[in-house]
Amino acid sequence: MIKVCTQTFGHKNPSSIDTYIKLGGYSAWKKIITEKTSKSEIINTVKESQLKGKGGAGFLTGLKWSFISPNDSQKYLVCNSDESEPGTCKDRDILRYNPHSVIEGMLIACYAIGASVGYNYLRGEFIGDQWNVTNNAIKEAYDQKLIGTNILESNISIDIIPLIGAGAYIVGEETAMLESIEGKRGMPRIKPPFPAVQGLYGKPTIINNTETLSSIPYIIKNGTDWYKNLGEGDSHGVKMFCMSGHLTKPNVIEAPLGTRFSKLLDECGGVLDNKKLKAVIPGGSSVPVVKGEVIMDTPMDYEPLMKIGTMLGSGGVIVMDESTCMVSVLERISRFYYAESCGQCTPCREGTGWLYKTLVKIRSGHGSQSDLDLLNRVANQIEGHCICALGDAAAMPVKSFLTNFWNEFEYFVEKKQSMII
Amino acid sequence: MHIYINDTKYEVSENDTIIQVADRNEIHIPRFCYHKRLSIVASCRMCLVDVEGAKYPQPACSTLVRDGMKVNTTNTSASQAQKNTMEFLLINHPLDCPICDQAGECELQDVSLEHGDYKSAYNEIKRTVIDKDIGDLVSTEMTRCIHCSRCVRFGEEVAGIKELGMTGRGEETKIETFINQGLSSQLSGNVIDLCPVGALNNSLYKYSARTWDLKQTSSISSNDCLGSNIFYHTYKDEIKRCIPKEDEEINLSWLSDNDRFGYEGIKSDDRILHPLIRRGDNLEKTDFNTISDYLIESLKLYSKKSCGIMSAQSSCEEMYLFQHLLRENNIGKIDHRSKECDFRYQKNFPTIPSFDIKLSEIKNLDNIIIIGTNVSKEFPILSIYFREAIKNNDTSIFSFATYEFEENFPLKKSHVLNSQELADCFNTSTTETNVDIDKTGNNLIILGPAISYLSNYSNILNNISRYAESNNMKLSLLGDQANTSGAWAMGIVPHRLPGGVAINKTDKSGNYELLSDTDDLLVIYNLEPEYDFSDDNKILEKLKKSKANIFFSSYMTESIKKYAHIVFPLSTQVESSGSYINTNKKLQQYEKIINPLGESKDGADILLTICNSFDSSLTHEGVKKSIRAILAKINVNNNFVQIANLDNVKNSNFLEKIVIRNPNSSNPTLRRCNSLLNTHDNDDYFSIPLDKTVSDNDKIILNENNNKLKLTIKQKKHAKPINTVLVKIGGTHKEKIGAYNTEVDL
Repeated sequence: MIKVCTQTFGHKNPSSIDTYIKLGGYSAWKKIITEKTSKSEIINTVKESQLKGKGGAGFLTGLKWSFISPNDSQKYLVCNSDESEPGTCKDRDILRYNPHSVIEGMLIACYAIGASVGYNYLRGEFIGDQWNVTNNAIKEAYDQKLIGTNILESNISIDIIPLIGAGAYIVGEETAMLESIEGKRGMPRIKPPFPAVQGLYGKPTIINNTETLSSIPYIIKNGTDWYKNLGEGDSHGVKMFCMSGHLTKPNVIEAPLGTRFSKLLDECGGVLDNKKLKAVIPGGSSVPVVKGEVIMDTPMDYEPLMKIGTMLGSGGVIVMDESTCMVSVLERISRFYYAESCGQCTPCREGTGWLYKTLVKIRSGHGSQSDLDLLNRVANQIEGHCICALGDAAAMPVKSFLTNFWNEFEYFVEKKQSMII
Repeated sequence: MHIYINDTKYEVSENDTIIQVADRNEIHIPRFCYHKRLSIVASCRMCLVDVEGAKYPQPACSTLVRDGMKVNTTNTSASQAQKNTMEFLLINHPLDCPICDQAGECELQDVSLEHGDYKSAYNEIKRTVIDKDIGDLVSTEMTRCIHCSRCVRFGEEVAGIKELGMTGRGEETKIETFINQGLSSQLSGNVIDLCPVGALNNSLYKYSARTWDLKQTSSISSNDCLGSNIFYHTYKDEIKRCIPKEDEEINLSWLSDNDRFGYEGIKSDDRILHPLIRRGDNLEKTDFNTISDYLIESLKLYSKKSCGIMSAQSSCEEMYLFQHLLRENNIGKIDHRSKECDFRYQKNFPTIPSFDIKLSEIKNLDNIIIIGTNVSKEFPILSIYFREAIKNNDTSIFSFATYEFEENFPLKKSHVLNSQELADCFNTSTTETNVDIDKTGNNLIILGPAISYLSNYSNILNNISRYAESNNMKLSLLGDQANTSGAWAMGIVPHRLPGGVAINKTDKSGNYELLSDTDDLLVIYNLEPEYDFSDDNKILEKLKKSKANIFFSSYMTESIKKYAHIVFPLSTQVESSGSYINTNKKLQQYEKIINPLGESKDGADILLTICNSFDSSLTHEGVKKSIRAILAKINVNNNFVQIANLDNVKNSNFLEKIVIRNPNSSNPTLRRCNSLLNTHDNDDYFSIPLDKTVSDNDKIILNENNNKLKLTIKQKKHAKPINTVLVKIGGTHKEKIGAYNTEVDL
């Protein structure tokens, strides 16, 4: 079993700096600052490793870094630890058990893009555990002079500042996060300009996911080929899969990209109570749902999942067995996006409520056939018509649930009750 | 560079957005959140248009043009997208157009007509929002809100006060004030115009007319010297509301609250509706002939010890005729400076006090020194230009004043000084001045109206004008009233004729003091003795003794009731026609909006009739011609000439009472606008004697001469000038406040 971001998992005191250093931690960072590795070399290494953003969009991290202008102006790095996508819980564990990999990754990223400050923005719900662990870890690193002014007498100064959100899902959207850091209401900005040009406080900013940054030290330490070869088949690298739902042993698993879904299912002990697999949402609640039989043999990577009409997203794999009422699931998912729309764009603000209310109506037995068409129409009217992707996130489940399980919805509006008893 | 919109080619420049090109070429694109003077948020998604090559329709307000871009605003993709947005906007919008004040001019209604469906597919319960009490000026119907956020951005970007904000998320997003406050900036009324629907309404207009019945007439503001351009909307000879008339030179798209709501006072119970004459203890109704004869008789009888004092809110026509009438009858003591007490500098004063640069050029200045004015309260429109300058040119703004206040723009430094220190700190003969600015840049000094109230006004003017000259800075003045510039130009001063022509006759006594040696006849024009004079005790004393007190007034006050011998009922500005010269020396005409109340008459008509009894050649047209000729001839230089030796008034070791100008009660009509008075900070007094230890709610008694003034201390947390007691004038106080700036004992 490979371990990248999960390297310290299972060790005694996994979050302590001693454990991390014992396992080779901070060696990449120390090497960079002593050898004064060139920035472009680091960016190229990351680029060649084919490391893709683990937050959901899957954009090449090295490429993103290369967009930042090499001049000397003020720049910022932001680590997006506002992990809020339903079904996703990987950053939660990284921050809890391997916080130093994130710090080291942030330091390397700051160095590579020329930022003197890196912010780690944690979701509000992390205040109980991860917040304390992160703060402790940062303090440990400061104490060992790995962060701060004149790091290890290298004349390099980088500060890492942890921040905690107040519980809004939308702040996970990168530009909304910038607004939030600036002390404003968390609402996504219009793009362009992209954050790499005009980000936090109007300065060039790179925003990366926690898991992405956590992978950086290992890639720098072990080289691009090592990381690329971790993938299975045509895939490169690893990914953390958050296996939840009707499983014997729900778990967070770090597995090579390209691992077949069936293998992940086996690792979790199969479907709970040996029931039949009905449907899977492979990348957090906002990606389209697929039928169990379709995904079973699909390699879990960006392109193969696109081919079957869904996405890898954040790696939040939600498994549903045959006893699941899809109307209820969709109603619950819609409620989430209805509650979390920031309220800025008309289609999302008004449309998410319309979707949810219509689904409530259907599930309470007051729906009709025309409501199903309405759901599809409203979802189409939202998708692609808003500033950020929350509208799309609300629309995609609706469309995919209706496409894949139309008969179940039709049954519900006709018989006024669920097909699943 | 060019783009195609609907297959027609248009020239564009690099930073244009699609909507700007469309607006320039009169191609209609519906929009709600976009406003040309606010930042772009692209959130309403109403202006979605089809852009060739883009998968989804793009917002026209935020999409920058590219060379050769092909845009379609009407094809299926664009119109379907607009229709969809409209459907979303309408699902939660109440269908209450029949009782909504915005109906008929509602942007949502207009677009709905174009892109809306006749029936809604939405069958769920509509959102309702509880209304907020946000003050007396703006009423809310927040269920109608479509969340365009124009009002929020206006507060953040233009007014500089975040009064309204968004709370809640998604469908629960609400526009409201933070911590249940009311709106209180002097620009708050603008959110009414900005609101595309009927969510933010004009409280005074609410439910009083339908928009399609209103008649629109343009006019000029009578409340400050900027001369904002406005439209009055009337129905059946009654003013229903007032909105800004776009003017790129003055008020842009905005209006101060005083201008917007300042007509409320014209319907006050205090209005004088008939000519009045004294019979014993009472004023009784009479006719114009009787009181005109009385005036003519008095002018003949008492020409020696007489004076005429006129409000600078009067029109140029009234001013020209007023001074003509008095001077024809050998009365030379004519003035408009009823609130001033130091006249030593007057011969050196510029012909027309004015703003030396165009308001639009403010944004190019490097440094601005404002002296003695709280710009955001007194000249809110000007503060918008200042904010623009800071944003555009990083302009540094310095404030010097006798009390500390808040501005809606950042001050580089704020100095709070007493009157003596104020004069001293610009004294170029002393080596060390307090003014620490880069003198090489493009700099402007602005003197506020309240400086003219000070007892050492001349010293201040003398020092500052010398300082400005030696540092090559421009010096500008802001007038106390709408037509202060006009008053100087029309000769409403004792030492100059219309056009600023100096009167050669040397004044023997050298005493220019307004009320000295005037024991026979007082003609008081549109001024209230209680509020408009630098020393209320003194004017009342004079009125008591004088042989004939002639009032021209729109409103009755206690002192008029008590002392007037005759009263001419004046119509208010909105009931008259005339012209003002604004602070940029621009002559602006205004027309009568509604008919005068009762028998009240346009002052120019009254004065012309009386003048015609001496000089039948005068006509309204002739007067207007003369005014234009005078203005054309006036040397446009805003020259201050320094006096070589000007003594300090007194030494600085005395406790001085300084009054604070209250813009919300600067003229008789504003004093009667209850909505405005209730909204803005109108504390009667607050007082800060500095070298004494006092605390809040302490009662103090000021002794000045024989008068005692009781004050309750309201200590402000701000820095204070030493040896000074501050008193705010206007508001609703009933007590006399005595001489404006004078020595007092505690």
